[in-house]
Amino acid sequence: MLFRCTTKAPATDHGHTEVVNNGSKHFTVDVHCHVHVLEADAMLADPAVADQAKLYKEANELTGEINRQQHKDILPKLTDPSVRIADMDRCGIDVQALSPSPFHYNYAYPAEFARETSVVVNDHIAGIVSGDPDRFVGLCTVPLQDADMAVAELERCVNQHGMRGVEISTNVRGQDLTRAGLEKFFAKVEELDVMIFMHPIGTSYKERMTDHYFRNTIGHPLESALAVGHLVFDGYLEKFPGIKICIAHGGGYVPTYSGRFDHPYHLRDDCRQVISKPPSHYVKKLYFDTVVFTDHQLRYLVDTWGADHIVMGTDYPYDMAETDPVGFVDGTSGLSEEQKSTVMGGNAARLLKINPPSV
Amino acid sequence: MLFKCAHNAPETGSAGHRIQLNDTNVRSVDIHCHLHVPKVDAMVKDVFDVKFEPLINYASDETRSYQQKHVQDIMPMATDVATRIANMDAAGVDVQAVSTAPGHYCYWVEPDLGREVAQTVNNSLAELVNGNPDRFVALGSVPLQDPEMAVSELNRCVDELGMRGVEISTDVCGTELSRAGLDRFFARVEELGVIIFMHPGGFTESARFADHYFSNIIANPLASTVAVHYLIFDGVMDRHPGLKICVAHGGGFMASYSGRIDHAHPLRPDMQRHLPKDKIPTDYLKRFYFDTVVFTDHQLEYLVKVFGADHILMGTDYPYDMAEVDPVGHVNSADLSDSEKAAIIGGNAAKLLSLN
Repeated sequence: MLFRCTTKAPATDHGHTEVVNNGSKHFTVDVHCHVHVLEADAMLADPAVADQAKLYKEANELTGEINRQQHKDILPKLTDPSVRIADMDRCGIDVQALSPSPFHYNYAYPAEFARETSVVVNDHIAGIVSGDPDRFVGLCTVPLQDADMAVAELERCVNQHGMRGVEISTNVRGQDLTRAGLEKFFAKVEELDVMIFMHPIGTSYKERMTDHYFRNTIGHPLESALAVGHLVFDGYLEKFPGIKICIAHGGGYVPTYSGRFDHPYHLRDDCRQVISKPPSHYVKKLYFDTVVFTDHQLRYLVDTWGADHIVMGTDYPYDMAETDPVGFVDGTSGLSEEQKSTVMGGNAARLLKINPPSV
Repeated sequence: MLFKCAHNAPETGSAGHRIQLNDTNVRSVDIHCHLHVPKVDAMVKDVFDVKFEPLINYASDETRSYQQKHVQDIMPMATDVATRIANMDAAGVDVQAVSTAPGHYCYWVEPDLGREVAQTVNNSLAELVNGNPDRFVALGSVPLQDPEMAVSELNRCVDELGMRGVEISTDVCGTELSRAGLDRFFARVEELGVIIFMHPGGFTESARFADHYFSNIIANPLASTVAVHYLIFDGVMDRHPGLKICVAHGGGFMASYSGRIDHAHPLRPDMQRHLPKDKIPTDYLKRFYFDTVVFTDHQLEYLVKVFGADHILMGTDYPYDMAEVDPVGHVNSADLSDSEKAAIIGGNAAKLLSLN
């Protein structure tokens, strides 16, 4: 029998017949799953702020229609913890590391406003976590358009709410993360020893991606590639050696095509202006989730970057989610039980400071 | 011993030996190598505008000045036949399937001039091949800005000049290949049974690609990725089941990151306009061919595992610095069977290019 957790889940081709129930085989953590906070949406409707940022624009009419309908369909999953826990039970997820829906970033709004929405979102997530601390840990959102405010909100979330990390996008209003004045933010993340979960929303290269949902299917892995590229070549992973960053969607395009970064480093001055080691040395410091959908790509990620750098995720509860995350990892050929255990929960437990229940 | 063909080649991690196979009849073929034609630069000099060349337009000052010197440095490799053959010998390449330098596409010029440019390029390619028919075959260039002219020049390339295919870019000045009125062109390519070698010239919108040569190392694989997506989802591959397209640089990002489209397509009607729900996007992806220009043995092994050795062709990107300098050694270093290596090094290309 095949378990599914989203309403429109397709039959998967992972070839397994059952999920590993939570706790029974390996401790499991979903590092990539989202919470939507209706109160934050309501703040956007305030006419005083509504025209201050370019609101999210649909790629085309049909895509917009599908996304709006999807949002309605999955709203209980996005908002109701009891629905969420039932889905986790069905999918064999022991702990979700809750991050905000990327629609809550609000980086394009005035910083004060984004700080207010961030506080609302983060307090709400903290409430879900405190309601069931065995099943949830929290990742916060911060107003990245203002480094000081971002640092302050991060500190508040970690110190007061016990959050384990922060979710950020791949750019700040089109500015790359390494060029948005965020040194003190990255330094603070490193100092607090919490994790960054990096998750894109759309892409700044919209023009040629209006159809076929390409802003997501191409745009998301591209955005992560640009972010990873800048973190590596602008020397941020050298400057912040202790930083822990997990990149959504299997890390986007870079982890499966890393040779094109290393090759010119050895030849071209314009590819080593800042860094002192080959780019892959820094890519190796990153973590990637398992949301790649094919067992061959997951296997390639594990073989190339090590099982200790791959972290199980889903993208719950959207249609781009892996609906059977545990079965997916379990069914990937060539992984040892130890590697599976590491990917399913061991790494996340270490990165997010979760104490697995004693077996 | 380690074969190298670029003068500034780094030590590669690959084993570097010429292939040792039982089947000694396999000729090694480089599917991805370029010819520079200085005459063409002169032809378009007066109408050139940097905004048409994203590789340069979006590059930082450092990259621009580096590139200028680099192109000067490699000019003998890019233009001189004797230098080319010496480099092929050094790298263990028996045959080059030569295509134009992507800078010569010139899809942005008026069609009449575009046709002249393509003809000039193609005559130079033909001259190279005629001088050494055992070492070279050619892939022509066509003025994609005018589909009828593109078909005519394709016919001339194949029928009169004996070419084995064409090289095209990933878009026509920002218009997708699937939306540039090229159905007749694709139909003719299919009918002639020749190959398309698809090679990008940067990505059209690239403001965030300025530094660290991202204008090439991210933008080029992105351009190929976008092009392949449109060819699949706009239904070109479905309408032209006989099309044989080899995508440069290991297929860009697409070939090594293919799960996302299969997952999304059955769930989303916005992806099903030209590709009904019961079709599987990667079934079309599997019809493409990819070159070996990925630099790591693990990615090459992965491409072979996912798409089969019969869909991977050895290439270099000669004579640029983004070239694999030891193409045979690279294939040799991968964990593949002898028959897989033979197919990749030359067998597949021999079939696709109708080599004797």
